[in-house]
Amino acid sequence: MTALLTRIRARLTLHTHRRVASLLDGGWASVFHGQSLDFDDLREYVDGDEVRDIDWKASARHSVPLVKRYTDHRRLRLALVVATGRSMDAMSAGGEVKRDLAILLAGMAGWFAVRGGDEVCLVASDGHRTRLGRPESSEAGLEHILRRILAHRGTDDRSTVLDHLEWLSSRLRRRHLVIVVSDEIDLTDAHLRLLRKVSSHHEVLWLTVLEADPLALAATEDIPFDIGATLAGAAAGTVKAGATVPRLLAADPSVSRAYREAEEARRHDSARVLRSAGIVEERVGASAQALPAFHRAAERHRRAR
Amino acid sequence: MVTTPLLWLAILLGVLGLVALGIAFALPARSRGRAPVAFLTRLTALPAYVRARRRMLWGSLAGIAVICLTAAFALAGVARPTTIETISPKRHLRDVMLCLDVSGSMIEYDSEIVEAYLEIVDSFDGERIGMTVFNATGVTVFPLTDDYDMAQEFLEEAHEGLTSYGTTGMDFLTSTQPENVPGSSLIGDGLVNCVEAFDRKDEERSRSVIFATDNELAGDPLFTLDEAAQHAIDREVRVYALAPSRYFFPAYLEELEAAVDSTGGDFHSMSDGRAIDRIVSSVQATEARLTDGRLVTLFHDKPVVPLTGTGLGVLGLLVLVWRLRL
Repeated sequence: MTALLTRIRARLTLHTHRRVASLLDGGWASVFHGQSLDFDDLREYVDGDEVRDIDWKASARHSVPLVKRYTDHRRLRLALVVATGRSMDAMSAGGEVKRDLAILLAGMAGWFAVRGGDEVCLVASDGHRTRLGRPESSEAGLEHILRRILAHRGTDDRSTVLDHLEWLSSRLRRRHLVIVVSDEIDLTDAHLRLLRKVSSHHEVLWLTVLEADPLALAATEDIPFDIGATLAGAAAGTVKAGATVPRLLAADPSVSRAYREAEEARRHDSARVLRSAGIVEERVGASAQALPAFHRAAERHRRAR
Repeated sequence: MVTTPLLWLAILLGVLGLVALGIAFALPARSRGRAPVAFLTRLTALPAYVRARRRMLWGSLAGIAVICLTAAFALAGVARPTTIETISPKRHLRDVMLCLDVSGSMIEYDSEIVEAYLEIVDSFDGERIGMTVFNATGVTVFPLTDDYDMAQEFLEEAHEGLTSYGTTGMDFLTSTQPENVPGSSLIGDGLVNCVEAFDRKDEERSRSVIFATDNELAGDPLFTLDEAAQHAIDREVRVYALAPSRYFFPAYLEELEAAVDSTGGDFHSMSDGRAIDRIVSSVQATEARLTDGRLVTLFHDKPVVPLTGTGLGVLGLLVLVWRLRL
């Protein structure tokens, strides 16, 4: 199996390397400007802290380990919050598997960080609950992170990035660059509080992997079926979850119109929630859009600051 | 009776159709890709989608029902429903005239004879029958006809008239006894009258007279019995005599027998009332033997119901296809 990162790097190299370098070399640091913890103090160790930051002498006099807090511009940390649940095994708008697209996006972000000497850690589900991965600062470590995303292929996990953000909001003290890679989950006003909390503690970029259009699939020679019974479907009780969409129904103009309207409203709602939480969102339907979308996100985020 | 000569073909086609359906279901579906998508309930939980799906379900059920019905009608048409009719063409060329003597001496037998006629009418199929009565003069009760309902009506009325001696129903007694004609029971005149009652004289038809009389002449007829018989021979009419059995005046009956024999008919003595139908059926048998009784079987196709059903079914399918925009 070829290394995941090799392919991503090849893609990045193919795409006008100079432009990438200039944009991100400058843009990367500027993402992290401000917010420097200028006082040098000690605090209790929490998950995700570097082991080498532990002040062993101070810890020896305490019941819990203490870490030194530095002002450190050089070693910033990127937290990749990636959806790895079963919905990621479905098709994206461009026809690729959403998980592959998520790996590409996470790999791009991670590669820029690693190349700049920053650390990358993965916040994702291990199948049961959210886990914070070991910080990695090498390409091999990034490869390991990407493999963890891939390893969840075929999972029955229903967790979303919102669960991870919930976990992360109370665990990660240090300011991170949080890049969320998610599919089109429902974002409503109920999540606003959580999102605001996360975005006030961290720098958040939100990369949305767009869903495939089941009506368009059904209209061609494909039969769209639900990757798994979603809770909403079971609760609605209208149509059996996991059911397929017959081609005849896809051709029904009233269905098509109602679906477009509903999707429009939902996307508009999600975008509004993220916007009011101060989070920059970019949408990616296919791998070809990944790099431009990533650029745009970084650029917009820098300008917003 | 409806028969289906091509039933085997219909069954064969039906079985072939079912086998084809079975094979179509057994074979794997067309290689259409199955695309996994997430959050499909965002589409399938839409009220518009649920409505459309329900509409499609009912539409398909209706379609299946219409297709099944259409197929059933089409197969019924393939089975070729046919009615078989056996006719004897010669029967339609047969005329039978009932010739009844209503003189006083015969009146007690007449009602029985008419009863027998009533039963006989049912057994007729294609022949024309007519009836004349005579006493001093002949009267046509009804002309030769194959309208058996009408014949039956007349016979019933005649029966009533004869049992009540003319007080109710048809009165034969006064009508056959005009005042300007002397005598009664003018047998020869009655027979000539009967023979003359046959129509379509230019056609070659089998003509016979069932001549119910006792041959007891009371008066001065224009034609004697022999002359009347000769007239019947000239007209090629066979006369079958039907006479009550008499022990006292056998000479009259012998004369009658000789006369009818000369016309090629038979003489029957009426020993009891039940004997009449036997006699008439023997008359019919004789006639059948004498005329060509070859039977012809006709097959009439009855495609109206299956074809109409199939046509309506196809129309229904077209309407369904149009409604569902398949």
